[in-house]
Amino acid sequence: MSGGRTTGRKGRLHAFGRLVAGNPQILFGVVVLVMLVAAALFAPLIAPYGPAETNIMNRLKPPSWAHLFGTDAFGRDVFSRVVHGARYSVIIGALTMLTTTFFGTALGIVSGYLGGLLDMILMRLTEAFMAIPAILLAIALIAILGNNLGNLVIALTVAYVPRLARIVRSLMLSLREELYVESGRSIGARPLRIVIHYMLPQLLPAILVQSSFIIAYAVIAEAGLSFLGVGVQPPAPSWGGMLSDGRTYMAIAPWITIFPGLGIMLIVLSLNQLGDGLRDALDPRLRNVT
Amino acid sequence: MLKFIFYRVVSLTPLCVLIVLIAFALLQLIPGDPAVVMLGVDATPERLVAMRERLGLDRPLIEQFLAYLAGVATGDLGRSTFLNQDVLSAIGARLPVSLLLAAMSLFWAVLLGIPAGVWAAARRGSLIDRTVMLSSLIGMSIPSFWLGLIMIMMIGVWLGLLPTGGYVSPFDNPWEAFTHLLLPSLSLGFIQMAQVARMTRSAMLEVLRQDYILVAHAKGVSEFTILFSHALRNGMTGILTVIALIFAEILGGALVTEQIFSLPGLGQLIITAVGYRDYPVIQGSLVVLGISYVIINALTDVGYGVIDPRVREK
Repeated sequence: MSGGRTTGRKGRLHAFGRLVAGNPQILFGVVVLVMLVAAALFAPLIAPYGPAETNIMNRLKPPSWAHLFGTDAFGRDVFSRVVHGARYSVIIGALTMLTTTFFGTALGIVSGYLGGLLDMILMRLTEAFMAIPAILLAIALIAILGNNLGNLVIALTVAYVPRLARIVRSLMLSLREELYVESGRSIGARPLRIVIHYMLPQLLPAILVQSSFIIAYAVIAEAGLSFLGVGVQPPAPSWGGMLSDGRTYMAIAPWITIFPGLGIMLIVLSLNQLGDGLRDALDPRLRNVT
Repeated sequence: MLKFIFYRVVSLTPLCVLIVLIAFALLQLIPGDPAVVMLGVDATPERLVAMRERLGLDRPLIEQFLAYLAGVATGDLGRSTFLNQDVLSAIGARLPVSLLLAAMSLFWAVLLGIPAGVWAAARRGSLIDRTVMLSSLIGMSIPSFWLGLIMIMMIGVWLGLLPTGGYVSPFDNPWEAFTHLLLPSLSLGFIQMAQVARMTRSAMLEVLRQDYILVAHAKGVSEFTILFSHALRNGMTGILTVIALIFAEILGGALVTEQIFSLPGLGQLIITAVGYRDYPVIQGSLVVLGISYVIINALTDVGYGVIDPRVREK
């Protein structure tokens, strides 16, 4: 039994390896993401200075060997802050993805499987949520719930769940008509069993593809919210907050603004590449749905 | 066609009610007494009672909602606690700036995105196609507010070509208004341009495979006419859907872009409202932007009907 399981796991690992190696988009996405996550995890080891370590004698210094990305208005090392800042983006992006995927998938499945009045109500509600710009909804929720990391994730989750729920629901509608689902029903399988064993595996590729896009949205939204002062609060080194700090000194110290922005761009680019690559490899039907 | 438009307008009402419900429900999420949260713990009991009355918190929940809904229907979104003016007039004074910025960004996205997508599809696999796809990929990964900052630095500060911030009303000086909105709208429209280009390319690739395009080629119709008259019109329904969807994103993005370029739009009002816990303004902004989006979406549907008679018949 355990041997079979090991072979199965090995087989899946091989399949994943082939998928990554065989698609340059996925390869690029995975390599850059692994590097960024490693930077976030080992930030204290990689960063030469503490993210809040000030040195007023060394303020607004351009990039040099001592300070690879220069220093900011408080003499803090921009490179160290960018590396530590990756933590916020990675954590908020990953948590938002997990909660959004869970609730979005559950809502989409319930709506698509049950249909009828519940489906109609849920879909009208998701439409109403999607009519409000995601960032405005997040700002409103943070203003009401209070500003902390947990509420930031809740706000972004509420903003993105309707989008995923609609995609999952539209896929459920076509899966519901499949013969193997019908055969499950005819042998008396319970709805929960049909959904978990027959339908969910078919939804997974689409959910996986969407997950990478959700992290990308969340990273940009978090940066935007922190830039506006309603996200991660200073002196925490979030990339959005660093952009906001650097605004005032843009004419004399552009490096404060350039490097955190490049960080955001790199993480979003890699996630978009990963999402596109996964979509093409796993489920080309999704091209039009997404 | 009139019947089609009438049906669309009627079908909007439940959606608008739901948007109002969401905005209303948000206020119920405030931990504790909203009046205390807004006025602070030092507020006198008299002021707290007055605020509760003003917000209608002393009435049953359903009554509060119906009163708010009736208010929205008659254009009364309540009173701003910080600005001490009607929410609707506070929003009304700033919304045109945000809408103008959003419309101009969408204009760039469409003006540049559609031809880029058509051209890339017509020359599939060529250097042009790859350049368009690569630029759109990069474009979709750049945060618009960062692009705005970089544009201010390069075009505004280093080259000194355009103003780096501020707003001039188009009624006062159209040219100045245009130059002041050029950088913000370009930075905001760039990401959407990338999306429009990608969508146009994939829609056009579908259409260009059709037999009637081959027939048009065989008849000797010029490539320009085939691409922009025969093919684009058929691919346009998919492109319009994306344009309607991205308008909500543009409106959201405008809130951040306004801060960068010091534009006195809705973004500034909302951020100030958050700082002062001015919930009626936050609620009102959700309602106004949500309903604006619904109306734009409906107009897009009417647009489908104009472009594609098959949609009208359905």
